[in-house]
Amino acid sequence: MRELLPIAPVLAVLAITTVVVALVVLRPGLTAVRGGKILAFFGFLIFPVVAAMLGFESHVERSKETSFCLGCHIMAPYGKSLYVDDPSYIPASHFQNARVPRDQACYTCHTDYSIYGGFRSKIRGLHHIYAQYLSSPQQPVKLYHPYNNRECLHCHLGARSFEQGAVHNADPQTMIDIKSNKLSCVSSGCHENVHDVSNAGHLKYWRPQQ
Amino acid sequence: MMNSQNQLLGKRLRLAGGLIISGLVVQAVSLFWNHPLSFIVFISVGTLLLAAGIVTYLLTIVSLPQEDQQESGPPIHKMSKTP
Repeated sequence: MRELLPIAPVLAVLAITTVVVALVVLRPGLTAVRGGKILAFFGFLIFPVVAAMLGFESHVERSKETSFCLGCHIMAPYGKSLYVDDPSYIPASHFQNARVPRDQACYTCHTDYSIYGGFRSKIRGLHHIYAQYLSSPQQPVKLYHPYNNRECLHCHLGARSFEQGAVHNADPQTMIDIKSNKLSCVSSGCHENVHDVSNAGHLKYWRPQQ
Repeated sequence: MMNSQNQLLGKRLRLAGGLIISGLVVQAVSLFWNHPLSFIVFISVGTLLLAAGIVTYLLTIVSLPQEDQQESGPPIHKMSKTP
């Protein structure tokens, strides 16, 4: 029932549209009067457009879900890596400690926090679908660009643990370089343990209690 | 003449309605399918059917203007009484 709640308004508009269209189709004589013409206009044009827009929005929102990203088999090892029982693994520690919403874990870290970043993520998603079903996906999966510190700083900027971290402040230039993306959080070797799917078989995994 | 136009109108409305309802059904089904391909089905099948239905409806209402004018009688400015 909870899964139905986000799409309930969309389904309601779809149902109303279907009823109105069916009514006009079954009784076309209704359109002979002004009220019938208006009803047909809403049923054949306004309601379907609204329904399509709501449905599109619902699909876009659903594409942010972790289960959506893991829908392709190629992403399964990355989903499994979220359960690695080792706090040095950045995605796993963020996921397990709810530092990112668990139901939008992939999207939260892999969207661009810039203008049109969400839109660009959706376009990339369409490219992923093309690669998965019409082409051959790249193995192993790689990022399009080196991971940008901007995505980390979207949450960590201003956080005490980040701003007052001993290593971050060891040298005054370090913090400047981190914030300007000159010194990568990930590839600099400080937080380099990310998904590491090539070693998935040798790792210990956390089992959340039900 | 009018009867045949009414039949044509009914036929086109049925076609437009059928396309729109089919599109809506496809869109509704895609909302229940939690898979990356569901979005593609929503856009490429559902929206396409819906757009075809809407275009058919719009073509229907713009292609029958003469009958409407005849039915509604003389233009309003002719009905107004001069003092």
